[in-house]
Amino acid sequence: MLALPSSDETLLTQSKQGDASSFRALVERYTAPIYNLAYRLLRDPMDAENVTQETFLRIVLSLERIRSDAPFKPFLFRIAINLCRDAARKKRPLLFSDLDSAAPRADADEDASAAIADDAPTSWERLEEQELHARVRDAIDTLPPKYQLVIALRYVEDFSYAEIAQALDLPLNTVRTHLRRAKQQLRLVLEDVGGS
Amino acid sequence: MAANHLTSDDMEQYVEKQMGDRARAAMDEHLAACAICGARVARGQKLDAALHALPRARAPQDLAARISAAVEWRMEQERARRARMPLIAVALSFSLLLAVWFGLEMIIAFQDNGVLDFLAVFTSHSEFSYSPDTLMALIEALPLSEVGLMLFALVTALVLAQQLVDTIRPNAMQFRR
Repeated sequence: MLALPSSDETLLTQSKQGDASSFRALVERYTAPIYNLAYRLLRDPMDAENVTQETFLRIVLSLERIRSDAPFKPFLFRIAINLCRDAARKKRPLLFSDLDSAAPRADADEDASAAIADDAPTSWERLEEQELHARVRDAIDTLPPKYQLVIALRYVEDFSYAEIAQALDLPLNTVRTHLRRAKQQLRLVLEDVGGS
Repeated sequence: MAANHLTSDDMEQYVEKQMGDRARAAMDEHLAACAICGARVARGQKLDAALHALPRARAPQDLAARISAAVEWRMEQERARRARMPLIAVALSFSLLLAVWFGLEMIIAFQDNGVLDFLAVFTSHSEFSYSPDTLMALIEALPLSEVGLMLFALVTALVLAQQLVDTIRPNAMQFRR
């Protein structure tokens, strides 16, 4: 009978007790997802590798202070995201500058979204699946970084809303709003592209 | 029912499966009757599918192994750091004691050699003028060995104190950089 994989929190507790193999298991479990997110945010394989390695080094250095009763995954990604912000700031000062500011057109969309929205004709609906995926990839690049981040966490890393809220240290409703606005903006971009 | 179309919030929660069973059932009922909302939900689901299909960057195959090696090296350093800490603390205490001891020796030697009296006389009487002989007399009166030992112990204590701070807070410098 196959043994169930240990939970993150169990591996963390064992790591705290000096079990190096448990920490190795955490590294193996999260290297690919963190690299993936870092690459998506930084667009540079070397930077993504550095961020991934530094994330685990930060964890191992503060192992004693990490709470075992709190979810580990959002905590881990929070460190990775902060390191990405630092790396982006050093490299291209403006890339992440608006991570914490509101996108101007999103506010205007907010009232409309409470009522009925997006009844506009959708030319992107007629696109073939492959083409739509390519368009969506391009459209994501036009989003403000904070929206790209929630999209990446939700759809690439498969985070729940609660995990995104913990990883970004944001209220749950703000996460919902960010995701909804991000998708509204995506639709607008896709309609522009699809219509042109 | 069909007249009350879904809001964007409703649609988002439906597509994201963020609503309870009852609300979802009510929504299903509405969607079965309302072609407009049905089309909007289908659109939302299509976008969601495209988002879920976003490509994943492939991490280098050996990255996890390299990170594990770096982590183990760092943990080894950490253990060595912890083992070093008491030794550095003892050496620091000893150096401070020596610095105090040599400092006291230096003060006593200053008094015994009459350096302080010499300086007091030299500065208070204007008829004494500078000459190579007076300078040599002053140098001969100075307790140079005690001064040297005290400075050596002090510098050693400072270096050890710096080492101790680095050992206790190894990341302080790194985070500052």
